[in-house]
Amino acid sequence: MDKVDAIMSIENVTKSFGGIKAVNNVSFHIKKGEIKALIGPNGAGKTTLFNVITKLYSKDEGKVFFLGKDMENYKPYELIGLGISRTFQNIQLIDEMTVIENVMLGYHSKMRANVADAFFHLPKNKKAENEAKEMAFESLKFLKIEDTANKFPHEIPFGYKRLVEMARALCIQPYMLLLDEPAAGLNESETNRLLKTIFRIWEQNVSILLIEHDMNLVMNCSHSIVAMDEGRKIAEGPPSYIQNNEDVLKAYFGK
Amino acid sequence: MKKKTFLLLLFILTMAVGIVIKNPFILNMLSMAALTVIVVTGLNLLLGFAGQISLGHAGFVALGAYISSLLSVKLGINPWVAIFVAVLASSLFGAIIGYPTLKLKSHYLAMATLAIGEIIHIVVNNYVELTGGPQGFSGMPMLSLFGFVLDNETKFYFFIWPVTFLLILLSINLVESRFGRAYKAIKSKENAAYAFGVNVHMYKVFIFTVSVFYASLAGALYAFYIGFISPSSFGLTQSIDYIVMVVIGGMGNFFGIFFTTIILSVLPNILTSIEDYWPIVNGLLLIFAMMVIPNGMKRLFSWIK
Ligand SMILES: Nc1ncnc2c1ncn2[C@@H]1O[C@H](COP(=O)(O)OP(=O)(O)O)[C@@H](O)[C@H]1O
Ligand SMILES: [Mg+2]
Repeated sequence: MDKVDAIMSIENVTKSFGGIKAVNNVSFHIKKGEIKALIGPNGAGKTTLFNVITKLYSKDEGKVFFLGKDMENYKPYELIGLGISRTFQNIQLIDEMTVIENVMLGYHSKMRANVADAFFHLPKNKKAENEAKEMAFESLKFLKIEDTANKFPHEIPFGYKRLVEMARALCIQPYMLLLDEPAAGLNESETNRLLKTIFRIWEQNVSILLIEHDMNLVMNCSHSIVAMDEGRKIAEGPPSYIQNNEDVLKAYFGK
Repeated sequence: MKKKTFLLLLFILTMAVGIVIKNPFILNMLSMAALTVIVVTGLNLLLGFAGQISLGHAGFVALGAYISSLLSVKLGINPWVAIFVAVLASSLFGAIIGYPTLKLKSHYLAMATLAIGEIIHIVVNNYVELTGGPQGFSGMPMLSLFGFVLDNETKFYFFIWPVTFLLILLSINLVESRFGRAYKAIKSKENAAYAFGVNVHMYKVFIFTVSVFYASLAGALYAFYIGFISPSSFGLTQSIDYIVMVVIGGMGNFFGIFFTTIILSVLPNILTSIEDYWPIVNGLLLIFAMMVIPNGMKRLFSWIK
């Protein structure tokens, strides 16, 4: 595929922990405006690849490009500024902050108030806070969980926590959204709702890279799928192709 | 009730106490408590919000105290200028220590500050020609404000408490901004902090520097108030006391920490008969507080938002 169509290109990425190659020479593209799924059994290396993309881990080899820019030159805290946002498989909400404050953290990078504005509570700080609050509330409303705004994470059901994570990731209106197992731990109706939500996000012109364990969900919502096993990419293609791919079936249902 | 409303009420109460109480012994005790509140408020930003530990804060208090005193006594510099320079120099020193150590895992800051605190203590103890060593250092002039000399306990009380409240107000402001959220993220979910654009390393260096600013300012004001400083006021014991106050006060809980600090700094003065046992009593108090009030004073002040 042409690099120009791609919002993100992953080229020959390898990452080892000790002797284990958690990600082994993986390459694929994510097209602008597509929902790409990353599947594979537990321990396949999906989360590790996410963490390499978002620079929480350094990689051993390979390159990642975002809109043609070599990500090598960016620090982990600069990705959000490029429009890359993410959720975490192990929920990373801050317990001592309310839901809306957690979502406002997602707007941090767009807030212009500096430390002096903050220390002296200058008008600029107030303005930035109000704007962030508004954006965060919009984000919660988009996911239809605005009634949880003033609750703390421990006061809301698990399924909602995943949605709060998504609201936080959407707060800056990213170009690309990385979702790490958003359906894990959700019941059936919550999963169905999630599916609709993912489509609604996609309709806002957000490209999505979705890690998911739930094959059903993946088959229903993605345009293209990459399957991984033991660090390697074993197959790539549309859902109909992946569904019948022997290597994928083997990886999932035993060898 | 909002934090700032409660802070205002506390301020009015504190001023009222200053008007009603004429006893210089008590006023002095409360002014000393205020100085400790300043140090602990700064440490609370570092430890309570950003989750980073400093085992050398008494060393930074000493730095502010000694640099300002030396500048004033040896070079005859105006006390306010001396305080300003001392606080600036100490903060810069803090940033210089913080920059490399905060790149590493958290416990490196603990180790580095422990070492720095001890080194500062050893230097002031041994560099006798300059600091007077264990005998202490004196000769600092009284501070004066708009031609108004702070020459008794009452006057200093009415100077130091507004300053203390102002510094608490600033720290509340910081916490109630995007920076507060960033620090809370750094403390418990560092990956989320990175993902949402927080330059974790520089934020840590900044908050550490701010906490050194608070500590050295308190040290400098202390030096000019008492007019005498000696190494025994700035040892590891004091560094640990500050941490204890933040922990018992409820890590990040402004008012829990406020009252805990006042109580813990006033208590040893009242219970002079147990002075020698104070470290033991202090330790037992810590254990007691941890067991009886699991969240420090958090619950007690949970009605303040
Ligand atoms: N921080 C780490 N340190 C050591 N090993 C890790 C780390 N993160 C992941 N791994 C290992 O890498 C492999 C891939 O894990 P992961 O990426 O979490 O898989 P997945 O998300 O596909 O379930 C596993 O063998 C896992 O134990
Ligand atoms: Mg995973």
